[in-house]
Amino acid sequence: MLSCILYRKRLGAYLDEELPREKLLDFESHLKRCTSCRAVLEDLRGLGPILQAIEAPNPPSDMVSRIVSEARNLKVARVRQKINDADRGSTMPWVWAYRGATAVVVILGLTMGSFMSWNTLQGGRTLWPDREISGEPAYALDALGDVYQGSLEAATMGLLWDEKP
Amino acid sequence: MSEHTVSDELLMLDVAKGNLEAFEHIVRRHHAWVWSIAYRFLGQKEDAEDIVQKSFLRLLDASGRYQSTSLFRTYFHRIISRLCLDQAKKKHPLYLDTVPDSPEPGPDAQSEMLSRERADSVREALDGLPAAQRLAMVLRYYENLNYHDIASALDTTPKAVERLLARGRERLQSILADKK
Repeated sequence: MLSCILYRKRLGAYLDEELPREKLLDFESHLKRCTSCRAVLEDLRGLGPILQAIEAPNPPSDMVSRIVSEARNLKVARVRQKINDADRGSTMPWVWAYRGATAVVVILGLTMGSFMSWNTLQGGRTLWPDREISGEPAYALDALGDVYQGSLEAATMGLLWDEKP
Repeated sequence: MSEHTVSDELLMLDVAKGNLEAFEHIVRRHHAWVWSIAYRFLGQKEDAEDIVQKSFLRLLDASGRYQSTSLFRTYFHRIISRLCLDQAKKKHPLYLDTVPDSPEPGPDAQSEMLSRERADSVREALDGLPAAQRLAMVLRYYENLNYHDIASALDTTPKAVERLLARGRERLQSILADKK
């Protein structure tokens, strides 16, 4: 019967006391009338004791201590990892500062070198204010003078020896 | 405060702060039923031990995210179920043929042998179920969880649990009938 098929689909839920209350009355009413559904229900009920035949042995006696020991090892490993990450993180700002300073020095050096090269291309004439016009020696630039010295080293030495025309 | 008076939910808050003593209390309190689920689902001691350890370590890992508003057992069932199902995907459960030991002579020897054979048959039948059906059966028959809690553990709906159990029972009966 079609209705039996529909009821049998929910026999498990009835057995597990999971049928909604509103369906319970109708279900029990059907079971009272239907011997075949009652037989199927009894078969289902018999599964419980059959499944209880599978006994679980006792867990190993050292299971708890092994789990706790593993947890301690994991905790130590994580603390070490955090320390390593913190050390790496604390050097980072200094690394970037060092890199930044290096870049600035390189750029300045290249820039000065470019000016000196350009000076040569202009036939040795400097771009600096002429001494006669300004009235005063442009001291540091004076060292570069009318003759292209060719190196920052010479310019620096000129500064150090305070050479004036 | 003794370990017996503090609730699991409060212990978990301590575990989240890194308190391994609280974690040990949790392990001692719950390892037996976790073992029971794992063993009944997987059928092998080594696999069950592995799952039990992983379950507790996963719980430790997740302790920071645990909210005491949800029941500890429900939360833990979910962790255990996921690990069991992942394990089942990795390897098809093996049923090891166990040859019954020669019974000691005695009046109950025959019934013991029959009982062991029956247990082996049921074990084999259970192992023949698809993983989700098997786990639903284990949680229903051995843990007495209701449909709502099984649904929470399996991350599904109570209606889906009803269907899993219906199919599981049908299949189990069919396998056991074939063995007779």
